[in-house]
Amino acid sequence: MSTSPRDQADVKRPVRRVLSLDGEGWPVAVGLAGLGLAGAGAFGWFVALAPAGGAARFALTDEIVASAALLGGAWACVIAGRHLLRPIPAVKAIRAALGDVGRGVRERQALEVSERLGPEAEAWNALIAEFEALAHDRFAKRVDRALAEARGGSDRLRRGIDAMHIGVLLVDADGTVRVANGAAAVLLGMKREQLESSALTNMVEGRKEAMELASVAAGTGKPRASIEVERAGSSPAILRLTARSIGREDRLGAIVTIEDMTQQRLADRMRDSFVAQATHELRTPLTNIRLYVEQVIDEGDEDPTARAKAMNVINTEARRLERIVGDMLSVSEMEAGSLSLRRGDVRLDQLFGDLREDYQAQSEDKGVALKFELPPKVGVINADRDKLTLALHNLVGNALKYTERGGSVTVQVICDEGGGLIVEVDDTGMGIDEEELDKIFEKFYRSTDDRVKHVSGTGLGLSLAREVVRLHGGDITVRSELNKGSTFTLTLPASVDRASLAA
Amino acid sequence: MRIEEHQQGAVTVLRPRGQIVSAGADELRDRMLVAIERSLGRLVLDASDVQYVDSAGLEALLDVSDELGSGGRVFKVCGATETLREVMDLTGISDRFEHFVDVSTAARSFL
Repeated sequence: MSTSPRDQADVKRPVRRVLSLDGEGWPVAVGLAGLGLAGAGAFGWFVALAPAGGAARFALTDEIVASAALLGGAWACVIAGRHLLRPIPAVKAIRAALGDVGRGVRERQALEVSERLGPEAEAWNALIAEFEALAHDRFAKRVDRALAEARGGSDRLRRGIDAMHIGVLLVDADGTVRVANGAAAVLLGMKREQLESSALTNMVEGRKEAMELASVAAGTGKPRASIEVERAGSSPAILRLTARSIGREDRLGAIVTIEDMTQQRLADRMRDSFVAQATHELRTPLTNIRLYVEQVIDEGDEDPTARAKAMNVINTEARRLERIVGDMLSVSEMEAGSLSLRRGDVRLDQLFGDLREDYQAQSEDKGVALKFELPPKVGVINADRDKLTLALHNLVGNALKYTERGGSVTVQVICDEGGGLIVEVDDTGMGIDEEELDKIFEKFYRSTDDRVKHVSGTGLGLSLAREVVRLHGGDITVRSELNKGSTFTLTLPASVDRASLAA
Repeated sequence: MRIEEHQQGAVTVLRPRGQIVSAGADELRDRMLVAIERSLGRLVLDASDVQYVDSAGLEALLDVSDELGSGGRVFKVCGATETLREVMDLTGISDRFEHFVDVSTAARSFL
């Protein structure tokens, strides 16, 4: 133990006088008496040896008394002086102890002196005890501080990993989980206490995959391994577990991160199916166009009727292509939040005339009766013509797509008194399951009905149609019965449009 | 109060309609906690049809926020009305939530 001067200054030294008149005063008293006696003797001799000048004669007895006083006094002084100069035993012992301290001895037992040597010894022992207690205190404080620092650091670390939404497990070399954060507990569906101290292999279904992670921790495999597991049960999820070795030569282990990939994988799947569907959608009209163009080139001017028919098909397919590309562009605009309306006056008779023209041939080919029921007088509304056409195309196109040969599709247009527009597209098609009614407006959603799989589509049409109609301040709703048919209702409020136009 | 629930991909969207007060607040809390457990915390509260929230309602929202927080997640709220935002701002709990304009933006934040 080392002691600094500052610390020594803190020690209160017990103040004890080595001499005091009450306890140890007798040698002084004797000394003083001796001095007095010797003085008196000396004075006697001085008087005796003084030049005789009529002074009284000095008797022999006086000389003897003076000599005795002088001798006695001197003797008392010598006794007292010797006693005063004699070293106290306690001081001797203390001096020896100090010598030990100088040689580096610090143990209390070795430095203590016998209490029987008097108050000095007691004071010295008290001093030593106090010093030892003080040293103990300082040591304890240092230990406390070090402990608190260590504890504070790990607390902070724990709070840190608890704030992550990625699950974290610290795993020992033998595959036992030592630390788990909150996210890990949530993702693995276990209590945290349950997680900590249980084996990593118990958490992952599939022995082979779990072993791969465990081998990272044990240092027998690669320094990094990643697996993806599907969690079944009431909370299905796709989790990605990645183990990274954190081992040094002496102590191995791994940190395992757990990410919830469910939403990503779902998005990936939807995107893949969209790409597949979109490619298909684009290829059909392209193939038709190419075939008819080849036909026209081959036949030349020989058959004007056939040529006109081919040109017609090419025209229709080109427009279909244009619509598909337009839809996709609108969806990306919708995604980016930049889908906007270019309003203008839209003549309803023209709008529905074009619509009928576009679908007449298709409905005849398929053998589905397409009927338009328009009121005798249709007016003009303020809307984005292209976007509205897009929405109507999707509704009528869907109705024809999902209605079998022999069925019918009816488009009923109602212009209400306030200037609003209601369009009902009614079909006798396959209908929609009640559970799917909400979902059909979601992007990329395609019905799970087996019959739908044979019909091409991107799963974008309805979400886009609803979005553009909502931009107009209206909405599209649906009612349907499986195997009987569906009715999609598009409503556009006119007055709201005027108001928003003014604003 | 009525609570509508639907899935946006792997995200559970709860849409309460009306006021989140007293008993309704408890119901909403329970529904949200169940949804958190089932979808591993992928929850969005669509508040576009919430007209009013009282203290019990706020407490329910904070409970759910705590539950999500223990898994390292933040409570995502979308379409909060002016009233709701004001109540959250005044009580100083607005920062405990992540706010989004609409459901699809909120759902996309899980990607």
